Amino acid sequence: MKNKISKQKGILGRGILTFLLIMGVSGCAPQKVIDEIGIMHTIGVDLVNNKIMGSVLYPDFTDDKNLMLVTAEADNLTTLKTNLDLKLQYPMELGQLRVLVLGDTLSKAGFSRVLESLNKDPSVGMINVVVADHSSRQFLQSIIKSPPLFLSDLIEQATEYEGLPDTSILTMQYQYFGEGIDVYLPNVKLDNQNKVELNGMSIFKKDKLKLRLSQKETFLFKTINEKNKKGTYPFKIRKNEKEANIGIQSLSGKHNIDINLAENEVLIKLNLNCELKGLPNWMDIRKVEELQQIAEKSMTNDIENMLVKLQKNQVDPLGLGMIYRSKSKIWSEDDFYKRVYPAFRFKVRTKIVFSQYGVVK
Amino acid sequence: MKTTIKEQYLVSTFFTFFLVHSSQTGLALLGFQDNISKNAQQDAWVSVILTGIVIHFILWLIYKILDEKHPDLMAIHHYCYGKVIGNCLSFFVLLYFLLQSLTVFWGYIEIIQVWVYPTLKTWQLGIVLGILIYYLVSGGFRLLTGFSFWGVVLPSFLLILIYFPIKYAKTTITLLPILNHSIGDILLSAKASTLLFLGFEWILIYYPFIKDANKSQKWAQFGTLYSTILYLIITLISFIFYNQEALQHTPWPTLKMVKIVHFPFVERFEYIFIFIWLLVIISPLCISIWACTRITRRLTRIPPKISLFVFLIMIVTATTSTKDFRSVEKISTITSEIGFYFIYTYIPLLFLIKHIKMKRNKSF
Repeated sequence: MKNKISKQKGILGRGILTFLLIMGVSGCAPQKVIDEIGIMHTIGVDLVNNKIMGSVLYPDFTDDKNLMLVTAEADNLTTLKTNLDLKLQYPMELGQLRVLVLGDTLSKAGFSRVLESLNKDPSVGMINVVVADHSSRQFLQSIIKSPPLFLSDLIEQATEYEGLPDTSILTMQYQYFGEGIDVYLPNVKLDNQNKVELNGMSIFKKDKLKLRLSQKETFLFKTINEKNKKGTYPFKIRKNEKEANIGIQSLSGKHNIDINLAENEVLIKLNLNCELKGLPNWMDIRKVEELQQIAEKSMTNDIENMLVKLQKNQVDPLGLGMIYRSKSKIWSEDDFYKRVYPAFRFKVRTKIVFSQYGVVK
Repeated sequence: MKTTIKEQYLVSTFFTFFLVHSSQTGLALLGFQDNISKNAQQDAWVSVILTGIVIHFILWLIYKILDEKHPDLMAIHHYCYGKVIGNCLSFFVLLYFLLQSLTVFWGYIEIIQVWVYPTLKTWQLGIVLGILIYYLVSGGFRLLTGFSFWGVVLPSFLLILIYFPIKYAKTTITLLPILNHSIGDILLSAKASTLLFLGFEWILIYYPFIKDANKSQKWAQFGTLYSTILYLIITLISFIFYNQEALQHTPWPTLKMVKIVHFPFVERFEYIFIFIWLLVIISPLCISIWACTRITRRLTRIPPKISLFVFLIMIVTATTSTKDFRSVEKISTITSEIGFYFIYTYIPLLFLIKHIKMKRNKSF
């Protein structure tokens, strides 16, 4: 009996000890109170007199205003954080960073100094990176009135449905460090009413901006590069001296890129399922084959032109270098850009199936 | 000298699977890809298979070395070299095991400091971990065997988590062309991947604690096979998710792959992952320290509780002695180097010596 009681006491004692230890251990961890830190949502980076100028948008929970903008200059990203902290009543945290906006000065001079230090920071998660067409500070100022996560939601939405390439800091690292592929990032700009607009993409050579593609070209690029092929493609038809511009909506599809080493030929096959909308009345819906052919031809032409444009500018966002590398025993990036890539001829085969055509015949 | 362990301290035969596999998976799983792909690049997965096969062979050798009469390393040493030299050699093995536990201990603290709490001091974490290890190891070998269950289950969760990197990976052509590296490169990568499999050699110490130990070889081999498969899958996934050049810029590729997992309610999944990983590293860490106390017990009359305390003090002190981040890397290189020669040179040598001696004894 006595034994039993002492056993029970032992269990109780152990329970209390465990409880105290758990309290102690969890209390020891360094903690950060949400009201006492500045959470960066969007950061814009420019280059001014060879110094990094960072502009940060952060939500201020103590104020009615949605977002606040603070700007600081520094020689590198680490001191930039300090210089930002020196202007705020609480320290900045990188953990919730969603969008990095590269200003035009920085993207022309090279983003490597920003990427390499961001890459090393463990608190940085999935960030979308976009390229502004002028200073990123000006850009951020124009979205200060919008909801806190406006920009990242906008990018997500456009990537999912509107033909914007799927990029993030992960793809950026992959393409920047990897050989045989170049970095591409979506563009942002301000329209004439000072509103944000995503528009096409920028392609970088190493870390320097080399080429900008329009939204139409970007969509075409996406169809031959990603699984998600949603987006719209506009093209012209002309028949019996009547002319119309039709938009077809791509729903899904498949692509395949192959390089024929012996003939230096890049063969691209693209199958798309599209929805036909807004057909003019003078076009007969029953003659859909004719329309298909026109659309296929137009798309093939546009893709080929886009590829030649990339080739002429010596950039390879499609990763043709990687495909070439996987097929040849010897690989040298210089040799690829100097000798192999300019010699490529492109052959595109597009097949469009109109699987839906709207609700009016 | 005979060493029979009482029935109540023995563990069932099939637990050898858990023991061997959990000793092999540990800290190395979080970031080995950049090391093994340094030489053979995209062909490094061949090296992992190659090392796995060799480890199976070494494990077979270990089972040949151990027998009823000489159930552990100390007994073998006595038999082969006599008392003095044998004890000296056992002591060196003890130092090697201690170094192994130091590597894991230090490496885990470093990961916590780099990824989670940059301002946390090493001694604070060191003492907390030290108390935990003392508590577990003093619970005896059966308790550690129980813990090794987590060392099998939790790394297997990685196989579920690889869904996320596969979703992000765009292409598999980074694995091509297959085998365009020289045999020398592949062997160098195989050498680097030996570190992954280290830990199974502790069976030299805990062999007498296994019930029907001579029948446990099957389970031990299964454990190694499972490790090989796990490592192979993780290697292939990382080679697809990264490319070779990006991999060389990533010190903890597995952790970075886990980082992309995120839920609406957990932004940084790797926090959870790192702390769960404590359960994974705790079993190889404890088994290696337990092996040290066991060797001490067999060589001297020092009771395990005291030697355990001394070893832990040594480990914690060594960990806090320097703040240089390179020291972790240095010590892990030294450990894997010693381990490499221990399993590839010393174990076959021991096997030969024992067999020569056995034959001679028979002929007399």
